[in-house]
Amino acid sequence: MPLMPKRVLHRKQQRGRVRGDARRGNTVEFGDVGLQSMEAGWLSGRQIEAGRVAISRAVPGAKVYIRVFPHKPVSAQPLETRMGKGKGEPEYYAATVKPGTVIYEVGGLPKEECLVALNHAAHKMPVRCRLVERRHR
Amino acid sequence: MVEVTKLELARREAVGTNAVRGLRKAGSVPVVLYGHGREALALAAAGRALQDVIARGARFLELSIEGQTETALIREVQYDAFGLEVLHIDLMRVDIDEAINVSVPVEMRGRPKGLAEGGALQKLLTDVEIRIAPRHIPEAIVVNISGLEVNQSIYVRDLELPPSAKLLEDPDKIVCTVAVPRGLEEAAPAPAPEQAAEPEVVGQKKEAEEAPE
Repeated sequence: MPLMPKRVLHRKQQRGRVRGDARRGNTVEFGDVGLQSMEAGWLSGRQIEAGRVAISRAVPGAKVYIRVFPHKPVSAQPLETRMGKGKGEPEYYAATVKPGTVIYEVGGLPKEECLVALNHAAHKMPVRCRLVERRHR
Repeated sequence: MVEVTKLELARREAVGTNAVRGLRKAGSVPVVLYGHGREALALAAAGRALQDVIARGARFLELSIEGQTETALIREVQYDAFGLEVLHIDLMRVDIDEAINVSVPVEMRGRPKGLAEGGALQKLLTDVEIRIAPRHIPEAIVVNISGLEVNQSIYVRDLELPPSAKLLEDPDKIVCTVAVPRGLEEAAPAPAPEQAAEPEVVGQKKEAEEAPE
Protein backbone atom coordinates (compact mmCIF):
# COMPACT_ATOMS: atom_id res chain seq x y z
CA MET A 1 0.00 0.00 0.00
CA PRO A 2 1.60 3.30 -1.01
CA LEU A 3 1.84 6.13 1.49
CA MET A 4 -1.23 8.34 1.77
CA PRO A 5 -2.85 10.53 4.44
CA LYS A 6 -5.23 8.94 6.96
CA ARG A 7 -7.61 11.90 6.98
CA VAL A 8 -7.95 14.84 4.63
CA LEU A 9 -9.86 18.08 4.87
CA HIS A 10 -10.70 18.13 1.17
CA ARG A 11 -10.66 15.14 -1.20
CA LYS A 12 -9.42 17.13 -4.19
CA GLN A 13 -6.90 19.94 -4.49
CA GLN A 14 -5.79 22.30 -7.20
CA ARG A 15 -2.41 21.55 -8.72
CA GLY A 16 -0.58 24.70 -7.65
CA ARG A 17 2.98 25.52 -8.62
CA VAL A 18 6.26 24.60 -7.02
CA ARG A 19 8.21 27.81 -6.72
CA GLY A 20 11.56 28.59 -5.10
CA ASP A 21 14.07 26.40 -3.29
CA ALA A 22 13.56 24.37 -0.14
CA ARG A 23 13.99 26.73 2.79
CA ARG A 24 13.67 23.91 5.28
CA GLY A 25 14.13 20.17 5.19
CA ASN A 26 17.26 20.76 3.08
CA THR A 27 19.90 19.30 5.42
CA VAL A 28 20.70 15.79 6.63
CA GLU A 29 19.36 15.69 10.19
CA PHE A 30 18.88 12.06 11.24
CA GLY A 31 21.09 9.72 9.22
CA ASP A 32 24.67 10.01 7.97
CA VAL A 33 23.94 10.55 4.29
CA GLY A 34 20.91 11.72 2.35
CA LEU A 35 19.35 12.01 -1.08
CA GLN A 36 18.67 15.60 -2.05
CA SER A 37 16.37 16.69 -4.84
CA MET A 38 17.88 19.06 -7.39
CA GLU A 39 14.57 19.87 -9.07
CA ALA A 40 11.02 20.75 -8.18
CA GLY A 41 8.42 18.07 -8.70
CA TRP A 42 5.90 15.66 -7.25
CA LEU A 43 6.82 12.26 -5.81
CA SER A 44 3.93 9.83 -5.79
CA GLY A 45 3.39 7.55 -2.81
CA ARG A 46 4.42 4.61 -5.00
CA GLN A 47 7.68 6.25 -6.06
CA ILE A 48 8.54 7.02 -2.43
CA GLU A 49 7.83 3.40 -1.50
CA ALA A 50 9.88 2.11 -4.48
CA GLY A 51 12.85 4.18 -3.32
CA ARG A 52 12.48 2.92 0.24
CA VAL A 53 12.39 -0.70 -0.91
CA ALA A 54 15.46 -0.14 -3.13
CA ILE A 55 17.37 1.24 -0.12
CA SER A 56 16.34 -1.50 2.29
CA ARG A 57 17.28 -4.20 -0.23
CA ALA A 58 20.69 -2.65 -0.82
CA VAL A 59 21.48 -2.17 2.88
CA PRO A 60 19.31 -4.47 4.99
CA GLY A 61 19.61 -3.45 8.62
CA ALA A 62 20.37 0.21 7.93
CA LYS A 63 18.21 2.90 9.45
CA VAL A 64 16.18 4.58 6.70
CA TYR A 65 14.42 7.90 7.21
CA ILE A 66 11.80 9.15 4.74
CA ARG A 67 11.74 12.94 4.94
CA VAL A 68 8.78 13.60 2.62
CA PHE A 69 5.12 12.60 2.83
CA PRO A 70 2.53 12.56 0.03
CA HIS A 71 -0.10 15.00 1.30
CA LYS A 72 -1.32 16.19 -2.07
CA PRO A 73 -4.21 14.39 -3.81
CA VAL A 74 -3.73 14.13 -7.57
CA SER A 75 -6.88 13.50 -9.56
CA ALA A 76 -7.19 12.11 -13.08
CA GLN A 77 -9.91 11.58 -15.67
CA PRO A 78 -10.70 7.91 -16.40
CA LEU A 79 -9.63 6.55 -19.80
CA GLU A 80 -11.94 7.01 -22.80
CA THR A 81 -14.05 9.61 -21.05
CA ARG A 82 -15.45 12.61 -22.86
CA MET A 83 -14.31 15.97 -21.58
CA GLY A 84 -16.40 17.68 -18.95
CA LYS A 85 -18.47 16.19 -16.14
CA GLY A 86 -16.29 17.81 -13.54
CA LYS A 87 -12.95 17.10 -11.95
CA GLY A 88 -11.69 13.51 -11.95
CA GLU A 89 -11.42 11.31 -8.89
CA PRO A 90 -8.25 11.25 -6.75
CA GLU A 91 -5.83 8.81 -8.39
CA TYR A 92 -2.87 8.96 -6.02
CA TYR A 93 -1.18 11.15 -3.44
CA ALA A 94 2.03 13.03 -4.08
CA ALA A 95 4.69 14.83 -2.04
CA THR A 96 5.66 18.24 -3.33
CA VAL A 97 9.43 18.50 -3.56
CA LYS A 98 11.43 21.69 -4.01
CA PRO A 99 15.06 21.93 -5.16
CA GLY A 100 17.16 21.15 -2.07
CA THR A 101 14.63 18.93 -0.27
CA VAL A 102 16.20 15.90 1.39
CA ILE A 103 14.02 12.93 0.41
CA TYR A 104 15.70 10.02 2.24
CA GLU A 105 18.38 9.67 4.87
CA VAL A 106 20.29 6.52 5.72
CA GLY A 107 22.48 5.78 8.71
CA GLY A 108 23.87 3.01 10.84
CA LEU A 109 26.21 1.43 8.31
CA PRO A 110 29.48 2.57 6.68
CA LYS A 111 28.95 5.68 4.58
CA GLU A 112 30.02 4.02 1.31
CA GLU A 113 27.35 1.30 1.62
CA CYS A 114 24.68 3.88 2.41
CA LEU A 115 25.65 6.00 -0.59
CA VAL A 116 25.32 3.00 -2.93
CA ALA A 117 21.84 2.33 -1.53
CA LEU A 118 20.79 5.95 -2.01
CA ASN A 119 22.03 5.81 -5.58
CA HIS A 120 19.61 2.92 -6.21
CA ALA A 121 16.79 5.06 -4.80
CA ALA A 122 17.88 8.04 -6.92
CA HIS A 123 17.13 5.96 -10.01
CA LYS A 124 13.53 5.53 -8.87
CA MET A 125 12.94 9.25 -8.46
CA PRO A 126 11.21 11.45 -11.04
CA VAL A 127 13.58 14.33 -10.16
CA ARG A 128 17.34 14.73 -10.51
CA CYS A 129 19.02 14.01 -7.20
CA ARG A 130 22.40 14.29 -5.52
CA LEU A 131 23.93 12.52 -2.56
CA VAL A 132 24.69 14.64 0.48
CA GLU A 133 26.46 13.99 3.76
CA ARG A 134 25.70 15.25 7.22
CA ARG A 135 27.42 18.51 8.01
CA HIS A 136 28.75 19.19 11.47
CA ARG A 137 28.64 22.50 13.33
CA MET B 1 44.86 21.14 19.37
CA VAL B 2 43.12 23.72 17.25
CA GLU B 3 44.71 25.18 14.18
CA VAL B 4 44.62 28.96 13.81
CA THR B 5 43.62 30.11 10.34
CA LYS B 6 44.10 33.64 9.11
CA LEU B 7 41.30 35.49 7.36
CA GLU B 8 41.17 38.98 5.96
CA LEU B 9 37.95 40.93 6.44
CA ALA B 10 36.70 44.38 5.51
CA ARG B 11 34.06 46.51 7.18
CA ARG B 12 30.88 46.78 5.18
CA GLU B 13 28.28 49.49 4.89
CA ALA B 14 25.84 47.17 3.16
CA VAL B 15 23.31 45.92 5.70
CA GLY B 16 19.90 44.43 5.07
CA THR B 17 18.67 41.78 2.67
CA ASN B 18 18.85 43.76 -0.56
CA ALA B 19 22.23 45.38 0.05
CA VAL B 20 23.73 42.07 1.12
CA ARG B 21 22.45 40.37 -2.04
CA GLY B 22 24.43 42.92 -4.05
CA LEU B 23 27.48 42.14 -1.94
CA ARG B 24 27.14 38.41 -2.71
CA LYS B 25 26.79 39.13 -6.42
CA ALA B 26 30.09 40.98 -6.23
CA GLY B 27 31.74 37.85 -4.84
CA SER B 28 31.85 38.68 -1.11
CA VAL B 29 30.20 36.97 1.81
CA PRO B 30 28.65 38.95 4.68
CA VAL B 31 30.10 38.22 8.11
CA VAL B 32 29.11 39.45 11.55
CA LEU B 33 31.53 39.58 14.48
CA TYR B 34 30.21 39.86 18.02
CA GLY B 35 30.96 38.95 21.62
CA HIS B 36 33.00 39.97 24.64
CA GLY B 37 30.52 42.77 25.42
CA ARG B 38 31.75 44.85 22.51
CA GLU B 39 29.76 46.18 19.58
CA ALA B 40 28.80 43.84 16.75
CA LEU B 41 30.65 44.56 13.51
CA ALA B 42 29.22 44.09 10.03
CA LEU B 43 32.05 42.72 7.90
CA ALA B 44 32.62 41.12 4.54
CA ALA B 45 35.04 38.43 3.39
CA ALA B 46 36.20 37.48 -0.07
CA GLY B 47 34.03 34.54 -1.11
CA ARG B 48 36.90 32.39 -2.40
CA ALA B 49 39.07 32.83 0.70
CA LEU B 50 36.15 32.06 2.97
CA GLN B 51 35.12 28.93 1.05
CA ASP B 52 38.72 27.69 1.41
CA VAL B 53 38.68 28.31 5.16
CA ILE B 54 35.38 26.46 5.57
CA ALA B 55 36.47 23.58 3.33
CA ARG B 56 39.57 23.09 5.48
CA GLY B 57 37.30 22.66 8.48
CA ALA B 58 38.77 25.65 10.33
CA ARG B 59 36.99 26.75 13.49
CA PHE B 60 39.33 29.20 15.13
CA LEU B 61 40.31 32.25 13.10
CA GLU B 62 42.77 35.08 13.42
CA LEU B 63 41.04 38.00 11.75
CA SER B 64 42.66 40.97 10.19
CA ILE B 65 40.12 43.81 9.91
CA GLU B 66 41.63 46.81 8.16
CA GLY B 67 44.83 46.65 10.19
CA GLN B 68 43.29 45.45 13.48
CA THR B 69 43.59 41.87 14.60
CA GLU B 70 40.99 39.84 16.49
CA THR B 71 40.59 36.19 17.36
CA ALA B 72 37.24 34.59 16.72
CA LEU B 73 35.44 31.30 16.54
CA ILE B 74 33.06 30.35 13.72
CA ARG B 75 29.69 30.10 15.46
CA GLU B 76 27.33 29.53 12.56
CA VAL B 77 27.59 29.09 8.81
CA GLN B 78 24.51 29.64 6.67
CA TYR B 79 24.29 27.84 3.33
CA ASP B 80 22.00 28.02 0.32
CA ALA B 81 19.29 25.38 -0.23
CA PHE B 82 21.79 22.87 -1.65
CA GLY B 83 24.41 23.38 1.05
CA LEU B 84 26.99 24.43 -1.52
CA GLU B 85 27.34 28.18 -1.26
CA VAL B 86 28.11 30.01 1.98
CA LEU B 87 25.60 32.82 2.49
CA HIS B 88 26.61 34.24 5.88
CA ILE B 89 28.92 33.58 8.77
CA ASP B 90 28.63 34.39 12.47
CA LEU B 91 31.93 34.91 14.24
CA MET B 92 32.27 35.15 18.03
CA ARG B 93 35.20 37.02 19.59
CA VAL B 94 37.08 34.68 21.90
CA ASP B 95 40.24 34.64 23.90
CA ILE B 96 42.33 31.62 23.00
CA ASP B 97 42.68 30.63 26.67
CA GLU B 98 39.19 31.52 27.88
CA ALA B 99 36.83 28.52 28.17
CA ILE B 100 33.73 28.61 25.99
CA ASN B 101 30.86 26.24 25.24
CA VAL B 102 31.30 24.44 21.94
CA SER B 103 29.74 21.51 20.19
CA VAL B 104 32.26 18.93 18.97
CA PRO B 105 31.41 16.13 16.53
CA VAL B 106 31.63 12.53 17.73
CA GLU B 107 33.52 10.36 15.27
CA MET B 108 32.69 6.67 15.48
CA ARG B 109 35.43 4.33 14.25
CA GLY B 110 35.17 0.68 13.40
CA ARG B 111 32.39 -1.68 12.40
CA PRO B 112 30.44 -2.98 15.41
CA LYS B 113 30.50 -6.76 15.96
CA GLY B 114 26.73 -6.65 16.38
CA LEU B 115 26.24 -5.74 12.70
CA ALA B 116 27.41 -9.20 11.66
CA GLU B 117 24.74 -10.66 13.94
CA GLY B 118 22.08 -8.66 12.14
CA GLY B 119 21.94 -5.64 14.45
CA ALA B 120 21.61 -2.07 13.21
CA LEU B 121 23.77 0.76 14.45
CA GLN B 122 21.79 3.75 15.66
CA LYS B 123 23.68 6.98 16.15
CA LEU B 124 21.68 9.01 18.61
CA LEU B 125 24.20 11.74 19.33
CA THR B 126 26.41 13.16 16.61
CA ASP B 127 27.76 16.17 18.49
CA VAL B 128 28.61 16.63 22.12
CA GLU B 129 28.58 19.93 24.01
CA ILE B 130 31.71 20.68 26.07
CA ARG B 131 33.28 23.67 27.80
CA ILE B 132 36.87 24.16 26.76
CA ALA B 133 39.40 26.84 25.84
CA PRO B 134 39.60 27.39 22.06
CA ARG B 135 43.28 26.43 22.17
CA HIS B 136 42.32 22.86 23.09
CA ILE B 137 39.19 22.31 20.98
CA PRO B 138 39.55 18.87 19.37
CA GLU B 139 38.50 18.37 15.75
CA ALA B 140 36.35 15.44 16.85
CA ILE B 141 35.91 13.13 19.81
CA VAL B 142 36.89 9.71 18.55
CA VAL B 143 35.22 6.62 19.91
CA ASN B 144 35.93 3.05 18.91
CA ILE B 145 32.70 1.14 18.36
CA SER B 146 34.11 -2.06 16.90
CA GLY B 147 33.48 -3.99 20.14
CA LEU B 148 29.76 -3.16 20.30
CA GLU B 149 27.49 -6.18 20.27
CA VAL B 150 23.73 -6.34 19.81
CA ASN B 151 21.86 -4.43 22.53
CA GLN B 152 25.06 -2.74 23.75
CA SER B 153 25.42 1.02 23.85
CA ILE B 154 28.05 3.67 24.26
CA TYR B 155 27.15 6.45 26.68
CA VAL B 156 28.38 10.02 26.88
CA ARG B 157 30.31 9.07 30.03
CA ASP B 158 32.35 6.58 27.95
CA LEU B 159 33.73 9.30 25.65
CA GLU B 160 37.36 10.27 26.07
CA LEU B 161 37.45 14.05 26.33
CA PRO B 162 40.54 16.26 26.32
CA PRO B 163 41.82 16.73 29.91
CA SER B 164 40.79 20.40 30.15
CA ALA B 165 37.27 19.82 28.80
CA LYS B 166 34.17 19.93 30.95
CA LEU B 167 31.23 17.87 29.78
CA LEU B 168 27.95 19.77 29.43
CA GLU B 169 25.81 16.81 28.33
CA ASP B 170 24.00 14.31 30.52
CA PRO B 171 26.58 11.51 31.06
CA ASP B 172 23.82 8.89 30.85
CA LYS B 173 22.80 9.95 27.34
CA ILE B 174 23.31 7.25 24.72
CA VAL B 175 25.73 8.10 21.92
CA CYS B 176 25.10 5.03 19.82
CA THR B 177 23.58 1.61 20.19
CA VAL B 178 23.37 -1.59 18.18
CA ALA B 179 19.67 -2.41 18.16
CA VAL B 180 17.88 -5.50 16.92
CA PRO B 181 16.01 -4.66 13.75
CA ARG B 182 12.30 -5.46 13.79
CA GLY B 183 12.73 -8.41 11.42
CA LEU B 184 15.02 -10.20 13.89
CA GLU B 185 12.81 -9.88 16.95
CA GLU B 186 11.29 -13.19 17.95
CA ALA B 187 7.67 -12.16 18.11
CA ALA B 188 6.94 -10.84 14.65
CA PRO B 189 4.52 -7.91 14.85
CA ALA B 190 1.01 -8.52 13.55
CA PRO B 191 0.53 -7.24 10.00
CA ALA B 192 -0.84 -3.71 9.94
CA PRO B 193 -4.54 -3.52 9.15
CA GLU B 194 -5.20 -2.81 5.50
CA GLN B 195 -5.53 0.90 5.04
CA ALA B 196 -8.63 2.22 3.33
CA ALA B 197 -8.24 2.90 -0.40
CA GLU B 198 -9.12 6.50 0.22
CA PRO B 199 -8.52 8.69 3.27
CA GLU B 200 -11.37 9.72 5.50
CA VAL B 201 -12.61 13.24 4.75
CA VAL B 202 -12.82 15.41 7.86
CA GLY B 203 -16.44 16.42 8.56
CA GLN B 204 -17.98 14.21 5.86
CA LYS B 205 -19.42 11.67 8.31
CA LYS B 206 -21.36 14.38 10.06
CA GLU B 207 -23.05 15.40 6.82
CA ALA B 208 -23.96 11.80 6.03
CA GLU B 209 -25.56 11.39 9.45
CA GLU B 210 -27.56 14.59 9.09
CA ALA B 211 -28.62 13.97 5.51
CA PRO B 212 -31.01 10.91 5.70
CA GLU B 213 -34.09 12.82 6.91
